Amino acid sequence: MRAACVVPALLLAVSCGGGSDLALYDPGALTSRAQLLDARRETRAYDGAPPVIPHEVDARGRQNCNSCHTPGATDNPARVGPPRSHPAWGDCRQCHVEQLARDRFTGSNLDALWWPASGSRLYSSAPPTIPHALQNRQLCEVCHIGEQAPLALRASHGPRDNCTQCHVGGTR
Amino acid sequence: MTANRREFLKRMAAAWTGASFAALAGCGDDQQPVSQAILDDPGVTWSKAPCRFCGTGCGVMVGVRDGKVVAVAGDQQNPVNLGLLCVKGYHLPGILYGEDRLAMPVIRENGDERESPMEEALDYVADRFKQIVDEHGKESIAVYGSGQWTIQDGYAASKWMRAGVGNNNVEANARLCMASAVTGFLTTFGKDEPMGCYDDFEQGDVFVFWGNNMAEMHPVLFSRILARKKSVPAVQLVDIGTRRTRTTEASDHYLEFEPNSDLAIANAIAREIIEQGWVNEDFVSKHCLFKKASEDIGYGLRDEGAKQNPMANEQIGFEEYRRFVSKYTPEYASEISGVPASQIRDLAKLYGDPRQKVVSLWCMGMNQHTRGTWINNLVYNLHLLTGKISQPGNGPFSLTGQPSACGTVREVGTLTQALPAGRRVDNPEHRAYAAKIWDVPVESLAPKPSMHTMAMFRNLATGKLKGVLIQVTNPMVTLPDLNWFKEGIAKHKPFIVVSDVYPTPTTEVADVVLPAAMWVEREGCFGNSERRTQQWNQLVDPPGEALPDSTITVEIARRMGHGKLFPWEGEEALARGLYEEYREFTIGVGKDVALYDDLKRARGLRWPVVDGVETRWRYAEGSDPYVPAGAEFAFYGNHSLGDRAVIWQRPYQEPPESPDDEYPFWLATGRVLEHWHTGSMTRRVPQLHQAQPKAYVEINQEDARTMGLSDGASVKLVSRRGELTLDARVGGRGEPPTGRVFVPFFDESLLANVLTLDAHCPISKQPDYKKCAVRLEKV
Repeated sequence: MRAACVVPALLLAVSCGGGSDLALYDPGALTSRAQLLDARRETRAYDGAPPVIPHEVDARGRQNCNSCHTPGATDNPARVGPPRSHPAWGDCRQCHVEQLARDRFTGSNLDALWWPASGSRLYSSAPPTIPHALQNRQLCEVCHIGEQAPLALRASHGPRDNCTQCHVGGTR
Repeated sequence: MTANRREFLKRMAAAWTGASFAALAGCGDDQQPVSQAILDDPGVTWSKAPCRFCGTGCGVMVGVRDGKVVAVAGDQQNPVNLGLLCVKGYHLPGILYGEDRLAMPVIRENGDERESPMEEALDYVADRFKQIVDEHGKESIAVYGSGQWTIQDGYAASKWMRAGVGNNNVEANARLCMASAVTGFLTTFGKDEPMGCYDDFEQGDVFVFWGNNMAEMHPVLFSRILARKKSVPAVQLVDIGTRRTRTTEASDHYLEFEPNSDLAIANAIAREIIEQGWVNEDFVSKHCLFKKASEDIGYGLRDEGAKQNPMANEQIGFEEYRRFVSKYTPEYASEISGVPASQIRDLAKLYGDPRQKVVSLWCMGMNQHTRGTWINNLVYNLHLLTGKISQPGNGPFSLTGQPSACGTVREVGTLTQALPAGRRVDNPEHRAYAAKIWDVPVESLAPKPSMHTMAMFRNLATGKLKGVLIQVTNPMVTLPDLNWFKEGIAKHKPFIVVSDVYPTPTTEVADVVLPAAMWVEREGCFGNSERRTQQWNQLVDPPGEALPDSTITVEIARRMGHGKLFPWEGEEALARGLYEEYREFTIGVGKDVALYDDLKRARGLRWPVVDGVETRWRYAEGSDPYVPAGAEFAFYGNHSLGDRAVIWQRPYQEPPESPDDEYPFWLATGRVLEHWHTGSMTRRVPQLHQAQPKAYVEINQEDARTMGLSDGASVKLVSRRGELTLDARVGGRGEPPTGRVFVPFFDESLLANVLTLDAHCPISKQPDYKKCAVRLEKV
């Protein structure tokens, strides 16, 4: 089982709206958290913004986001995408948009908010705090627990029922 | 499969099935506007504001660090959106910081262009306007704004023109956008704006989209309806459209109709309601009456001869109305519309079934229509005949495109005929009331409407109007039959001042460009589609010498000698002063807006707000404080008609231009999810630009095959007015049927409006951007 994410830099090398040779990256190759977070930033305007769709979308298969982004929808490792962490919203492409071009209309001076790369610990074996907002991230499992979670973000322990019992918000 | 994975899937599945829209409010972090982790970041402060973009009026939390907006989050405390935004809303931070943001005024004179300090530019503008008025009279200048004006901006502009200069030359782009909605409300109910509210979306059983791609244009509200459908699978979504869209995909039923034939379909549904005995006779006899009006009213074309007064009308009886609609059998409507008669019958049954609560929704499809007022009336007819109105989950809902088309243009009254809070310039009592609040002699107020938007720009293009201040809109992209206006303006060279935030085709034709503060760079209020007034504070400084539009207007007015009208000093005092004075107009006429301090605290309040309590369903006893006890319902906008709403007799008529041998395709224009109107803000956000980099033409697969066109091929569109070469989009997110094409208008370098026709509804004066004839040529 692999988490299917995309290296945006590679994706964006694909010509506008054209080819389908999208490069999926092997999470094993991006074991460092820093690399993973860098790749993540490429797909967002700021932390908390919905990521753009980092792959081509077949317009004909419009309602099929769920066929790859629902847990357990497929066991085909090439087609397993990260499940959404906010299951109530059903109209995926209201927020997540495909990218058809690489150019810019004008430059931007946005100084975006990026969350810290990791939470803080009071001492070495204390549970880390949560370094990011929880809005639209209700399912910790998606990124942190289990085989579909990227290695670099995966918790060192298995699923327990109440993550926020030990991990609390706070970046100071 | 490992035990861990099975366990994981079980947990995920449970989370997925248990979730709903409402359940998400506040989830993750008990009712915190944004979750604790980022609230705790000492460098970032979070404050509420309504979204800058559409008429939905979502609440956003705006994150500010070191004087710059660095992020936004959906406001979980705002009942409009419960924490969800659309892709435009999430990308709000980007619209402030495009590299070419206007920061200094520019003056163009005698072929030269120079940057100038704001004080000097304002002096220059005021001098030129004064000169023009001295030379050509007070009718020679005008102000043109938009539904993106804050309430304060619109009020300042209206007061300046009417009480200061002494004319009624105030218009706004909302004329192009929802004027037919206004005249639809006024002719049927005597008062503007919806009776229902967004709460209807959690209570309706049937949602009917009349020419409305809600999935892309009001995505957060559409998500509320999808959530309703998810929680109650028996809920039905019906799309009545001229092309397949994302809304069609989510709907249970799709009725595809020939452009303009919605008039026939609505009449056929009314006929079925009557003939099948589904009329709510108690409601109709107590709360409605019937009228007919002149029908030879033309299409507002430039070279059109004299037509009947479209407002001339008379009362008729139910029997006469019944005889009139009886010819609209489902079969007859099917012949006109191409919609199978069985589908029309099925839809009529949904409207007629007393157990089904029905919400009708529409936006530009019904408003940008040469019979826009009529089709609004005809859909109201369905709700009135069945008594499905002003009740939770039951009612017609006219969606608004812009963030304050309601709050500013309609409520403040920035259309030529309007005074604040539903009053009219041609009513002597209304003028007297305004003169008293404005402390000017009543004789100084011009007693007649002057120019609607189309007339204003026709007058600019023919040299009759000499000067204009344009704020927060981009007419050199949005006017229909654009080349005609551009050529006229180039020839007659009226004095044009534009205040805006980025360079646009409109700033290009300006003699003076003034940089404007936008959104949270200033304080203001918007009013959304459900009568909700929302206030926000200034959170960051505007760039360079940029000022809020209201301040620009007030500073020009002061320099022209109208300073007495604006006694407030400083931005905060001005924002509060303009609002509080405007509020006086609203009290007691059913538009009572909330106290400014209450708005500062609340996530918006829906007017009429009486004794601090908002109103969810207007005209209904128990919900609307203006309805007397025992009345059940009172359409008090029609007080002279006994508080009754009007059921209108309106026929189907053909549009002014239809496809023929030479121009065989229908062209409709419109918006896309990713871009706001002409794209001047959203195209500067990389994620949005890259998602929709340029305009295109959607073509049906069969037409594309016949012409030998594949997706992405170049194709030239030619109309009687202009031509435009675009990439073909075949099998994209929207698909028109054969014989029809669609072009979005956001792209300033591929202007859809060189093709469109400037025909408009003779009652509302709103142009029809949805119907004209073109031919396609392979390039």
